[in-house]
Amino acid sequence: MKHKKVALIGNPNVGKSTVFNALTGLHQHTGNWPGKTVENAYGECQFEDTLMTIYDLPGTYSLVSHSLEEQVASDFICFEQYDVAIVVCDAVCLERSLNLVFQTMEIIPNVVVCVNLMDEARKKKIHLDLKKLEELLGVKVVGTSARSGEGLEKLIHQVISIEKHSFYPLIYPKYIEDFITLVTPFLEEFHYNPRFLALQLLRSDGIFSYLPDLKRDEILSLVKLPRRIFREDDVVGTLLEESRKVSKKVVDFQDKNHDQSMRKWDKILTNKITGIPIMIVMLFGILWLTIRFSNIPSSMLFDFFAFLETKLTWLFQKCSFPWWINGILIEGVYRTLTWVISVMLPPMAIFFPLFTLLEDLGVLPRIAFNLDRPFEKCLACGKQSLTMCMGLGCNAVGVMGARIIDSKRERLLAILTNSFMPCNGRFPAMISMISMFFIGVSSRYSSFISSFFLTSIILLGIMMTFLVSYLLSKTLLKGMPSSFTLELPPYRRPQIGKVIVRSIFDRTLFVLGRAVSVAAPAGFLIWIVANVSFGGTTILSMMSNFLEPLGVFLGLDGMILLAFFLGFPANEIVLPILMLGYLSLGSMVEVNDLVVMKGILVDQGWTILTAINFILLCLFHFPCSTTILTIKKETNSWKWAGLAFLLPTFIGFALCILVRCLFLLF
Amino acid sequence: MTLADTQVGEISKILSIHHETEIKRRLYDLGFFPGSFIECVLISPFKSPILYKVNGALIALRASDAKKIEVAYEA
Repeated sequence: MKHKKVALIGNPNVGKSTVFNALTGLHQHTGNWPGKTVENAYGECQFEDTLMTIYDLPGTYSLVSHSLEEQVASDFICFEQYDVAIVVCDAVCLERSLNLVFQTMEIIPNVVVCVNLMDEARKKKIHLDLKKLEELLGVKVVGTSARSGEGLEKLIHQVISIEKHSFYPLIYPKYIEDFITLVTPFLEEFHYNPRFLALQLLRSDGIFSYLPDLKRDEILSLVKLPRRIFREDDVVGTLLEESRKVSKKVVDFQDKNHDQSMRKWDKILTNKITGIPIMIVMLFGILWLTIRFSNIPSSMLFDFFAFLETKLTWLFQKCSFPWWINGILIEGVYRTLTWVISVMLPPMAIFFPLFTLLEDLGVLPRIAFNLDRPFEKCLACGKQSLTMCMGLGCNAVGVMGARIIDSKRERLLAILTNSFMPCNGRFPAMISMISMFFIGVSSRYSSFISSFFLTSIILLGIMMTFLVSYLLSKTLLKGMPSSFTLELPPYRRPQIGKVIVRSIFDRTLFVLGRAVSVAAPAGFLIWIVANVSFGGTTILSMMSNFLEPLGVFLGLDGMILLAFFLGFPANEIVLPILMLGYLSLGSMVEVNDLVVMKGILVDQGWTILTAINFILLCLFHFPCSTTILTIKKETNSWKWAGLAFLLPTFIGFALCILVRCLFLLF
Repeated sequence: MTLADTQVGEISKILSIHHETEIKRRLYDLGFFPGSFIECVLISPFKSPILYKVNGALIALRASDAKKIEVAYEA
């Protein structure tokens, strides 16, 4: 069996991941979020007697990187060992893709050019002469439409049967060419293209750390003079001129006005008057669908698990297990676990597919386009709104997604404020509170009104994001907004089937799995502290009594604070812990509907104030442990992780106190 | 005249770009290069960023960044 390492590189939005998934057969399910295509995103593909390991590199416009995400791609292409590079191009804007083709061909001779989105080009009446392109480039060119699978077999075939090509003969301005000729003798013994190494030398000394065997002194004396007159523009100019020349010979636009229908949509979505309201309505719509259709499956799951519980309890009694085994396993672990599943699974199974649908349609970048100006006013970057959207799904993912932001300062702003977007795990608790305390449980329009409330809560989170971003920019993270470039990809019809598969496997089960794995031990722990007592008081009441003064001061109580603290590993378990805590203090009842739950809460002294402050604290408190660890990893500093912990907590506490004061006043 | 001065629907040709190297390189990679033709497509609800069509792709730039790109109408 032969083995080949293949790198897959391309501009963003050219369907590179679609090509990757088609080649590797969708075996790779480790979270396909934007900004996450990084790190170990590889899959395998076997064809005849060759096994290919395919590396899916993040989308990039150039090998001279700007953002952290692009850095990964350019480092891989420049300095990793691999056999073939597939450059995925966009048939609709070939000229720009060619820029990357030339850059790659300067580094590795084994390039296969994959011109993707041929179907889109046909629809737009753009004609491409791929035979001619192959001739001009001197490497194999394959036209594909990865979504329908067109051309993929041919692509694999070309990758396997690749012969060594020569490097593409780009001619740079004379002084660069002179330097290349001069320095080449020193560079020939390495397995890189001497021309590529020479260009790197003109830019900086960075290359010496990769190739310690280089004759440093001789080379430095040669490079001194040309470096003084070297301008990056000369290199880029050559690349772009060449791209323009080649693309002119290959591409024929038969219909200049091919994108008119798409523009109509953009005119509505980004309109001065309708743009922002439409976005809010979309948010509302997603929340409404989520709330409306998760009620029934949720209560069905509850009933099912309750039924199973009676059976299990019966079984345990029959086997005459000691009472505490039943307690730990059923009342502790089982109840917390099933609670989390019943409450989390239905809304996630609705929210994530809807979200993925919008993402696939290409709506998310339009949101960033609409909102960039307010972010600029707060000295931040419009792409922060994309990380906020991701945060609605999961804050850890939102934090990771901040890699799409070029400037380090603006990236930190996005990371530190991400938890102001309530993640999916916090929705259910908030929705329960809203329905119990603000609209009658059985009101006919309850799902409609709840979504309205939830939308307002999220808008509050958005305002806080703006405010805090601004304040941070004026204090800890001083600086000016950097420049901003954003590509709006064409709207694409989503592939419903794939959207559902991807959102269920990559997102729903991934996030649920994480919550469940925390819920079980948490349930275990809770039962222990609720049932082990010293001198007549359980550990649980001791802890909650200890927190009581602070809780009361915040307009809450000790048990609520305790639930938030114990829910640090996952926000999903805050409400279950709270109920378990309350129940262990009072009488044991099944909590399967909101009426019963409200009864318990009111018995514990809850008022409207408690409910408001609970929701506020839900929105503004320390992010879960996964998010904190992600922040540590992304910023490489405990200082920022610590700030990300303290900042929202402080805001939440302050708001709770404020609301309590208002209640005391009126 | 700068790119920020062009109206929706107008096509202009880039003469020069007055940005620092880093940003300039990014703009080059996206297709904003002296000699390229740029069409102004849309203006966002808050007047910035502005959407341009370059090489068949839609790229948004902040008005403040577009001001540093010098353009002329092709006669």
